[in-house]
Amino acid sequence: MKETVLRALFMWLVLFIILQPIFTYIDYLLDLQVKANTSYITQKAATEGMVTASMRNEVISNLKAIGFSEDSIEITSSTDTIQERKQRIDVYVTAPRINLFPYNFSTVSQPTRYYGHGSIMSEYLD
Amino acid sequence: MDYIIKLAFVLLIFIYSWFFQIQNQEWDMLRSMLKDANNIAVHDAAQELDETELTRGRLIIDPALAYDTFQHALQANLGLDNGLSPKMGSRFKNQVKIVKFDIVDDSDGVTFPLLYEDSEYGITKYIEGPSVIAVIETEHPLLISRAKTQEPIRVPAVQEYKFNK
Repeated sequence: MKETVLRALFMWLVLFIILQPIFTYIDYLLDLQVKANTSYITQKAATEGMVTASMRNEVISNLKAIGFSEDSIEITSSTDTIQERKQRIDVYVTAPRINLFPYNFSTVSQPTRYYGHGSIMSEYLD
Repeated sequence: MDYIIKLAFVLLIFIYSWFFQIQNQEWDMLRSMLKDANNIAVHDAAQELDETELTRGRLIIDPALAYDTFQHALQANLGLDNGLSPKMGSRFKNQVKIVKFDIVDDSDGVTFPLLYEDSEYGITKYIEGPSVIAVIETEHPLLISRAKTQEPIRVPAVQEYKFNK
């Protein structure tokens, strides 16, 4: 009986050992992609002086390709009007975060969204 | 009892390798964020042109203004305070250091394109016009202690003006 209980416990451990690195790795890749896309859209926004609709669509398309749903992706900017050269533009991209653990043993709540923030000077010249 | 010891050993190895994985991933994430922030910061610094010289047709970057702007861009992008130490909520755990900040422009009497070389930081690049070159670094993230001290994460960035041909 004791041995059976131990083996049952071990199966859970094996399952956790297999799943946890996969969860951690996927979480890291998604986080990296959100931040990379934030940097990309921020640097593109500098040349246009603002975040344009085509830039938003491009980032949404990139993030959709790695599994985020279109409605869940939020792209916000500090301005909706063209900023002149040397004025600062802030861009924020967030997307829903996956579970960090196959099973949460604690009562601590997990972060719910991936977050990217970029701040750049406009280089727009009329 | 023997079984329990084996189980504990497996658990220990798993936790060690899991933390090692997280540490390596965190290294990559911080390196990526540093690189993006440095790219943006040199971009911003390169815009601090001396307007008087600009009217004379010379592209000269104001060094003091450019450095201030560079620092400000790093603070805004990485969540750092005035001393470039992480603020509450920043992904970074250690201070970010500016180890190199260099401006090459028309005031140096150089002609472009110019082969820019810095053996200390491993930078070799043909620059087409006035440029800002910077290298920043921060400590390697540490989740598991090791006898060997890891090298800091160090990233270079170059922002150059290119003339239309």
